[in-house]
Amino acid sequence: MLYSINLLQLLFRREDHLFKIKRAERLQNFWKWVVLLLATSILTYIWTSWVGLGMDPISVNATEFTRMEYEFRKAWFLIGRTAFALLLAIFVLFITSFVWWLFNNVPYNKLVIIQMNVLLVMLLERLTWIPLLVYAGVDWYVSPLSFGVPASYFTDIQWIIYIFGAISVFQLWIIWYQVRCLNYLSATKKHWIWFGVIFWHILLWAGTAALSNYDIFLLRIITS
Amino acid sequence: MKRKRKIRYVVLLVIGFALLNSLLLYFDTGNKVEQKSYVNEWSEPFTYDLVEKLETTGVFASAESNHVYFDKNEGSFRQFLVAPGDEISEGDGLYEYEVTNFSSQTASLKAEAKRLEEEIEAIEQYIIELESFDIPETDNGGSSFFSQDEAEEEDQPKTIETEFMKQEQIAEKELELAQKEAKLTMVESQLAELEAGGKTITVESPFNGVITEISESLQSPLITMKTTTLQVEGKLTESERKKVQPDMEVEIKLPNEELPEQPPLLRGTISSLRNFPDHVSVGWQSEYPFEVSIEGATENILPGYHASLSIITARAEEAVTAFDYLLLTEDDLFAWVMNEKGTLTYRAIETGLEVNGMTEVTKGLETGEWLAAYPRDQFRKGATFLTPIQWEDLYIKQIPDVSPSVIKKYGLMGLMTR
Repeated sequence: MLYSINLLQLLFRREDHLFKIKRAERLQNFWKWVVLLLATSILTYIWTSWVGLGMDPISVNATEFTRMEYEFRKAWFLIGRTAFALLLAIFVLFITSFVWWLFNNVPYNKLVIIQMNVLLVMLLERLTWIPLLVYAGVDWYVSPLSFGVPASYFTDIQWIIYIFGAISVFQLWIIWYQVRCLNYLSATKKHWIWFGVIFWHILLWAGTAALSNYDIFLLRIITS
Repeated sequence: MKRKRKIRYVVLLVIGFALLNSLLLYFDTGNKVEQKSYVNEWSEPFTYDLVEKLETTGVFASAESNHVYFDKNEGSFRQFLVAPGDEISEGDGLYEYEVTNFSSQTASLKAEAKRLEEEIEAIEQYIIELESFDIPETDNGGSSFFSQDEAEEEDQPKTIETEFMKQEQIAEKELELAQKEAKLTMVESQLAELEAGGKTITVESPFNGVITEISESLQSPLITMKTTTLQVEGKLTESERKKVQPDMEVEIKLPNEELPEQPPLLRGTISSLRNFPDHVSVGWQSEYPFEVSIEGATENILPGYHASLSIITARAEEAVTAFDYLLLTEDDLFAWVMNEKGTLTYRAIETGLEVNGMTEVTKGLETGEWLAAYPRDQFRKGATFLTPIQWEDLYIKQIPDVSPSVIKKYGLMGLMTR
């Protein structure tokens, strides 16, 4: 049976669509959606970096540059960001699906569809970071929608704050959503699915925290 | 339905969580939560010559006014030899009068001449006597040759002193003689004039200038002359007067129609500034006249031309200047400075002159430092600042021209941050 991908419906009328997905043999509009999502990801990151998110390392030496030099560095940062957006989208759509596929008996492309919604929600989270920074001065790891704020109160250690900052309501929803879908589509036992999904996310959060903590350090190593 | 209730709980939980976090952020007094500042617009202070000017108007006028008087007792007035508007040099005849007491005048002149001559003779005689006065040497008479040398030595200083006094006297008297002789010449010429011109005497002008007024009714002053050097005159109101001091520089601008060969801007200084107004009264507006002396050529300008003046009341040369909107006025002045470490600092500064939206900063800022302008509520002390990409400062064509190491560094940075 042919299933025409409709992400929004998948989001809100999960049961019906999951049912159709399970039954489907062919999927329509697959690559169209992939391309659309990649484009959306790039656009989202262009927007966030246009506004200036993530530019702290550039600000450090800002006063040494002329206006034009400063803007150039920001422009190249933005270009780097678009590459990041691309990589992130590919990772979320394909790599995570690959992990699910390894441990579950579900066709790969169906898993990708699940991840499409995950990507959408992640992009939505990035969009919330823009007004939070511009109007409230909070960066992603202390967004009020994450656990970074309480973590800041308890400790000053940066990477702990980063890890907890990575855990946001969006992430929690994503976990729940992934568990639900996998549960429906696959035959694996429920607690294994829970364990797998949470474990994967913990890995991702730790990786994010490490990257955020050591990004300048790594940069120096690479460029020197 | 159970589903709907669950969803409702979850939503409420999420909202509550977000609210709690927001409250924690809001009441974060100990700065536990790291916050950044978004700076949309910033600027730098620059070096500039600040000039504070006071604008007023003035009119060109003669710098000096001279008057000539006529004493009716000297004679009866005959006629003016000049008319208003004439340019007069020193020595030109101004008016003639008939001497009423011709004979007594000549007699008195002659008598004075005679007296002067006698005085001159007496002085000359005195001078001759002085010169022939030999300082007497003390007489030792009959002393031996040996003691004569001694005595001469003793007399030497005394002789020199008296000699000096004698020369001094001679010089004094010679000066007096010269003065008397000059006076005699004058009297003799007046006498000669009287005798030659009959009863009429022409009075000559002792000044240079242009005749502006002649009093036909012989009121004093008889003739008013104004010099050709110009100055600018004006009046200051009470509030203006408080800001102006003598010796301030003034820029004089002639109105739009340019005079040929006349530069449109002249410079001058306030040469005089009155401390009291024309009219002192509670009901009247007090006006304080002032005069400006002009540097530079004013050939084509006539008295009576109006000009607009800018009095430079204060000046700060090469001052570190910042635009007003960058500085905050609370009790002391502050500025938000984006420093070299990438954070915002709240710095106290001291300012001086303020002109046209620019302020001189006397302490606390240097040119080249960045000042954050906007949006103010996002500025936090010690926060790392972030700026959006400024479109106007970016030339897209030149983006790839940046050095490859910079490209690599910042591109990777964009790639690796979260």
